[in-house]
Amino acid sequence: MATNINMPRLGLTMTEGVIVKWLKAEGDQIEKGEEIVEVESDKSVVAYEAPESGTLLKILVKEGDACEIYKPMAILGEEDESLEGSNAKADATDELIEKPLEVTEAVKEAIVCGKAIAGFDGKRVLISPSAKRVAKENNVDISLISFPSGKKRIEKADVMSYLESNKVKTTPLAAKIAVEKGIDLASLSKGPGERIFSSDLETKQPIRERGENRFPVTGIRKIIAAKMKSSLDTAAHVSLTTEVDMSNVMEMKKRISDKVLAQYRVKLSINDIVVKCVAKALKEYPRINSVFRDVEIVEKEEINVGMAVALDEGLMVPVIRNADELGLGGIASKSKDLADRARQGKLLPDDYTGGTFTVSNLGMYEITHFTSIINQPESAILSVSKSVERAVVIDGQIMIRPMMNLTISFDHRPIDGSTAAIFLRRVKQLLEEPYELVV
Amino acid sequence: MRVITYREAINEALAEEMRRDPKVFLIGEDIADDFGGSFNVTKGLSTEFGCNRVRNTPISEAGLAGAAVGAAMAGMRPVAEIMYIDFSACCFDAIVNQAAKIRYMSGGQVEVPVVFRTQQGAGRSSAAQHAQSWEAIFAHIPGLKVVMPATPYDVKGLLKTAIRDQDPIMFIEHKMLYGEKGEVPEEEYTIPFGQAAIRKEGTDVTIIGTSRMANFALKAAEMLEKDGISAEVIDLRTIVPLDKETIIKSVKKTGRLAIAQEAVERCGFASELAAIAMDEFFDYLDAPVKRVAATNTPVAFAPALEDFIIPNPDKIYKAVKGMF
Repeated sequence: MATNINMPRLGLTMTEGVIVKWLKAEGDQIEKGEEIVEVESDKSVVAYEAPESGTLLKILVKEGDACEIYKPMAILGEEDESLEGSNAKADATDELIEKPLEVTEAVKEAIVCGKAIAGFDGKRVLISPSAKRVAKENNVDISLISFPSGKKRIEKADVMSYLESNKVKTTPLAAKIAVEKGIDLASLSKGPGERIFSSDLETKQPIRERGENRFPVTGIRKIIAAKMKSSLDTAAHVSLTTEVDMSNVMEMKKRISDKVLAQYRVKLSINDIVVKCVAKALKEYPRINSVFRDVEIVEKEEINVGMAVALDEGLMVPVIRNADELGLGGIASKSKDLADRARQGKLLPDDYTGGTFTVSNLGMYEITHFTSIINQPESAILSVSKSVERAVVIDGQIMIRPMMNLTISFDHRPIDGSTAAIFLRRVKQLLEEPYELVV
Repeated sequence: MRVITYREAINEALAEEMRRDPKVFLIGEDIADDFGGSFNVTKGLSTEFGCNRVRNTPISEAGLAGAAVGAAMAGMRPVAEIMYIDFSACCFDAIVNQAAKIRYMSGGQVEVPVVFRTQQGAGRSSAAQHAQSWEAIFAHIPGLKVVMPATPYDVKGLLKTAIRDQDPIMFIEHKMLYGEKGEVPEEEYTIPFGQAAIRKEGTDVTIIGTSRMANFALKAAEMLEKDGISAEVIDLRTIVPLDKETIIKSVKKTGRLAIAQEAVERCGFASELAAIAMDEFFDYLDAPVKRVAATNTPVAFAPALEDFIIPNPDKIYKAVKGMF
């Protein structure tokens, strides 16, 4: 007579299981208790044992598929038995589902996580508030506590006896060695009630305690934290991104860097050229170079471009004053001087105050796009990324060009999107046609 | 130690306080000699202290309670006897609207140190108008203290404290306890309010009782002991003020709480204690709190029906057994 092999309930929260692997094939002869299928619940993978002997007549749920609990996964019967007219078919399971799970010792063994099923009313483990509290205090998974016979719910005493029986027992010497070596005794799996001897510890590596390092928020970190938070809280941040073909800047840099080096004793960087272009564009679009003061917007005539410099302990933004009046060499030498002194902690207050716009560059960290928080009271900040050689279409031709993303983050209170966009487009134009800088 | 009855203990407390303080006087119906009170509690006192300090009144609870409240406001320390707590309905206004309120409404300028001695409970076929248990009604009124002594020792010590207290007191005796005997020292003592007595220590369940139910709870605990259940019995002695600490400490130890109450179950003081259990020590309970109380009916006259209605040691025993 054919019978169903149903999906077991492997845990209290389990509603369905996934067939990981059939360990037997259709037609195989199976002995009661033999492992026939690996089933995955939400908690674990368990090999399920045949409830009785017979021939595996049909597999109903294939590997990788899910099956609701108590629904048939396969049909077991006698060899050559026909399934026609048999009760055991995929949909003949109502009776089985309605029947509460009979809790026998065998079921308990077969069902790994099912020890609390006797106290399971279909929804939750019946446990007293006191027992629940003690379980929580001792990190006991209540589904692992055997339901006390003759009681209405798991009580505190049941949790205590569970704790007692699961206590790691050890010889005094083993306990001493464990403390010295920092070995977690609970990690030594021995049978319940079995004592741990010092010899058990010999092969055991000490458990590394992984703590945490704490740093008080003081000094520069405190200022950065307050400034960043206050900026995000007050300014209406919006970001716009464009990409720039850097071919001409690269070419220009190649041609003039020797001359800059000779005259200013400093290496010209792409960032210096970006700062120069930004300064020129700021002069043309003074709204970007402004301060928002609730009742008025102050457009600054001074164009002081701040450059974000990363330090070990934080971030400084020294300022290149009147950047629009400096040539590329002047900007290069000023920016190197400021960066060097920032790293040495030798900046003077004049070096890092009075900025009207900031340029932040993360290109050296292989960053290809990012946004920044506005360095208040300024109204905008430019995020300069790495230029990367990319295939671009120019006049219907695919060309390889060094492309770089520029992102402006601006305060929408004084600056409208179109204003910021026009400014950004202008910076892009200047970078793509840098010879305009000499005009 | 000498053994006297609950009745004699009350009588002693009254006499001692009247000797100690000339402002203490008794007022009530038929309390003077030769009758000496409906339950013989005040016998001999009018003989010793005279009819000015042991005053018989007409059968008017409203009158005697009003006079007692007025005398207390004027600086006397009256002990008014309301023969049955059921009759306090006739003087409810004097107790709950006057005595309980005046200290607050006068901004503390006027105190009302009156003791309303009364008795309640079933047990001798007194029927529906003479056997009610009304402690919860008075415990519900802010401004009143509610005392429910169970033993001769407690009734004497608590009554002396009540007479010396500056606030109105509902001193609720039990009609079935007057003949109960117990050890009472001859020397002076008082028992402070708000201190429960642990009548028996135990580890498995806490049973709270007051008045006669404290004694019944103790009997039930003895029966449970034979079944291997160790019950701790707490006699609250005063329900206002309430000794929460003793209750909390006990239930944290035992994990179970049963409350025996002679009053009807609905809106009784046991319900208040159950609510306190939820608030204060839910996480220490191993079982739901159990109330053992009278049925939600008037008390019947027929002895068999009265037995059916009112809790007794056997009912407490069975209810507690059901908690395991």
